[in-house]
Amino acid sequence: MTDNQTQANLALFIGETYCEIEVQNLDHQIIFSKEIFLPQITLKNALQTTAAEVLKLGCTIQNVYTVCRYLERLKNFRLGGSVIQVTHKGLENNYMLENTGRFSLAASSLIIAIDAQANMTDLSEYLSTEFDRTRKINPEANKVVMNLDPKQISVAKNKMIQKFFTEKNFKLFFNSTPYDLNSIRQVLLNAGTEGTKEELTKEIQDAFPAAEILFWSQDRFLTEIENYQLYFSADDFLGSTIFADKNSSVDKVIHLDIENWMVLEKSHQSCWDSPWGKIQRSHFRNTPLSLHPLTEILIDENAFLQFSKMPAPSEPGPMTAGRGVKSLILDVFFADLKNQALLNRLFPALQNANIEKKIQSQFKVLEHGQKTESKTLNQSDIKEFIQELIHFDINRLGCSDENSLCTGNMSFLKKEGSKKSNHLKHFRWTEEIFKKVTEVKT
Amino acid sequence: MISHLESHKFGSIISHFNNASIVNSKGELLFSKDADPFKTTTSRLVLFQIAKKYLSPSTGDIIISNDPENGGTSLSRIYFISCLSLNLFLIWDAEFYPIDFKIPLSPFVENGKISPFMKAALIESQPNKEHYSAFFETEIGKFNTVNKFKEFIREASGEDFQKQWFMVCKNIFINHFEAKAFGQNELSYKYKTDHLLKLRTEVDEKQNQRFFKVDFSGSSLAKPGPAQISCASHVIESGLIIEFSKYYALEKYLSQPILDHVKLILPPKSIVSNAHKTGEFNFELQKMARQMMKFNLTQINAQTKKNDKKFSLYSTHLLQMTSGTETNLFFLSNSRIQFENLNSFHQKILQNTDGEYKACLVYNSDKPLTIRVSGISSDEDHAKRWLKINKVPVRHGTFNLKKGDEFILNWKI
Repeated sequence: MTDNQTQANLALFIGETYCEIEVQNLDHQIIFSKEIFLPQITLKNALQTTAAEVLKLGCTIQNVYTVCRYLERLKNFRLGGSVIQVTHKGLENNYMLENTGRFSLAASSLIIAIDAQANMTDLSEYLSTEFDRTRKINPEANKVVMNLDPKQISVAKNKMIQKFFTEKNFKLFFNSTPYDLNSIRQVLLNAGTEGTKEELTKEIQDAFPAAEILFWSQDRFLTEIENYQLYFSADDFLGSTIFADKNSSVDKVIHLDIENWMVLEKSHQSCWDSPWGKIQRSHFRNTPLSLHPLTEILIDENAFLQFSKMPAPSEPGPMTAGRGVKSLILDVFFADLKNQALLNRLFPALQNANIEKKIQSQFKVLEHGQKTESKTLNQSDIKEFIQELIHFDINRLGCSDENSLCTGNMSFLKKEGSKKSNHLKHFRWTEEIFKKVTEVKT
Repeated sequence: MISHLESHKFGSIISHFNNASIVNSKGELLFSKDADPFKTTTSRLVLFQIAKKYLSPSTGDIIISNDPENGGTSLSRIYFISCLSLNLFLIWDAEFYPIDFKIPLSPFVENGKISPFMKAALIESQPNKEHYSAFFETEIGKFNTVNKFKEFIREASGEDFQKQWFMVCKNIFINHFEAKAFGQNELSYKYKTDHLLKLRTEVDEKQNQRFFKVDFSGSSLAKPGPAQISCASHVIESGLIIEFSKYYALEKYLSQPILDHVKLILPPKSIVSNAHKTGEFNFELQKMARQMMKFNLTQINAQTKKNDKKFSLYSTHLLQMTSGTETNLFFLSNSRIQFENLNSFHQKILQNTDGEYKACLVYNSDKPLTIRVSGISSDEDHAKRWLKINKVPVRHGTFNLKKGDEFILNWKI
């Protein structure tokens, strides 16, 4: 840092599809802010641009306070394609048996199942042969989960295996309770998510080399965080922000933004029923609404208008963002999104008349493609229906004006209740991040 | 004017339930959901008709029953028949394993309040009354959640709404079948050496009306006494209707106009139409009927010669593991395995290699464990799917495990 540079902090929200960046100097003045839709501008580019702007202003970033929802992207996938697992013979993939319908966390072909009773020489030879086999399957594998019970394997053999992989530049992950299926999943998830977390931290570090990177987990910002905890960073943060006031009657948050529609409750669940199976992790109860903002609206094989079972991938995103070609729920609300300042910054294409025409004509196609004797649904009908269904869901989940708040950049979707004044809460991730930082310091 | 998207609203309001149906005062089905491995759609409809006939529920009332010989399916599965309005009723069922006694059709909640008599008899008299109370409070809580949708209940109770909704479902049914095959297929399966299950499925059209006929004529008669293997007709019907709606992708619209197109013939006193006093064979006979139905539908719609494919039953099991007041379920089929809880077992072996699951689990608790095994143990499937307790093969029945006993499985999916 040069003498004439001043220090500043950066608040960063990395969502599944969008990112909010804000820089404040030490006097809490906003000196830079930016919102980007990630499929259009990469996080790396956004951070590099921010770094350049901050430098122009004569500032150096001291801390990057991060709230992360980016790992939601991984929830539809099997993980662990580059993770070797060393485990006891007879326990290969044991975590899968609890529910075979869940995604796997480690490639079966990369399992090295050992006999802990074998002598050191035989074990060493076996390890070497098995390692060569895994090399042929995935030469890029660079992480290993040591799923070994210390009661069954000697310290010397355990160290030998560790040394073997350390010498081959593998990153090691340890689980000493291979019979505890929850802990296996947790460690495998740490290993399977490592690449994504490394990429995120590297992009931040490259842009702000002098900064300390902190992630929100449970009720604070931490410099060291286990990877699986990142799946809860955003919910933990939202819950900590809204439910902090012990005197408040609010015990539910209806969160409606461009990538997530859910009800978050103050009550906790001790176990996470993840896409990969159960993992012990206390968290605010979270219930997604029936529809997702990226749910596709389509005509099915019988010419009926339907909502897709799974949301569309975030890439290329809705037509509203400029490049999308499918009609997503977000696109139904094009006119409403145009009235939101933040969303105009996220989606510059909202001001593009051609995009508006494209969306309208796409909905006309959907309208005319329906074969029904009862009713053909146009864009306005679909919009009305979606709002009704949101209302149904939040009612079913016990939300009322007295016990809940509505947050998020699409909170305009929530029908106004009897107490119009206080159920919608202005909420911006970066603004709240700085409030938390100040709170903790004071 | 309502649309087919109303199914999302029905789905939202009953999403707290695993198995539930909404019907009008005539018992005509408006919407249904079945998420458990054992299906109960028709059982709920039968119980509604009995409840309506004998107890005429009013708004805010909930009637309960579990009698396997009178519309129910097993003592542990409690059926709730509730009245949302004079023309809208919600029927659901839920498992509560501690109950091992018969509950005749009884008014449980009257005008929104639990009947003091039922509370005393059913809850307060139990040694583990907190457990009973928690179960019934949860179920009443679910009903109260649905009851909050006053506006929708009022709308859906209207004859106009129901007429339009039935029309929407009927049109969807017609559209779905415009390009589907006609035909018939007959299948006989010898079960437990001296029981024959015979199923004839026919898809035809008369006077521009497509209909489905499912006929079990020719199936063995149930043997009375301790050797009785049979189940009530509504158990089979529930399974067949689910299989039918699943095969033709009509699950979201399963309602009266669709049921009206399905004709089921289940000969009286046969093994598919004779209630068992505890419902012991319900799961396996329902599963068997579903597998046979799926085979017939596949054959009717197959492009290739119908004789090319031979029917082969696959094994499937539902295990109810009870220790003290806790019960965990374990489900195995040809496509998935699901354990609720493995905490009381030590894993001697628990591995998955290429879709073949092997487990040798040693029971590790001082509390005795009872395992109730139901389902199908197919001879054709035996090499790849089997269960053992202490090295002895297990197919059906109740088994007791003590600390150190081994539960072994080999299961290919």
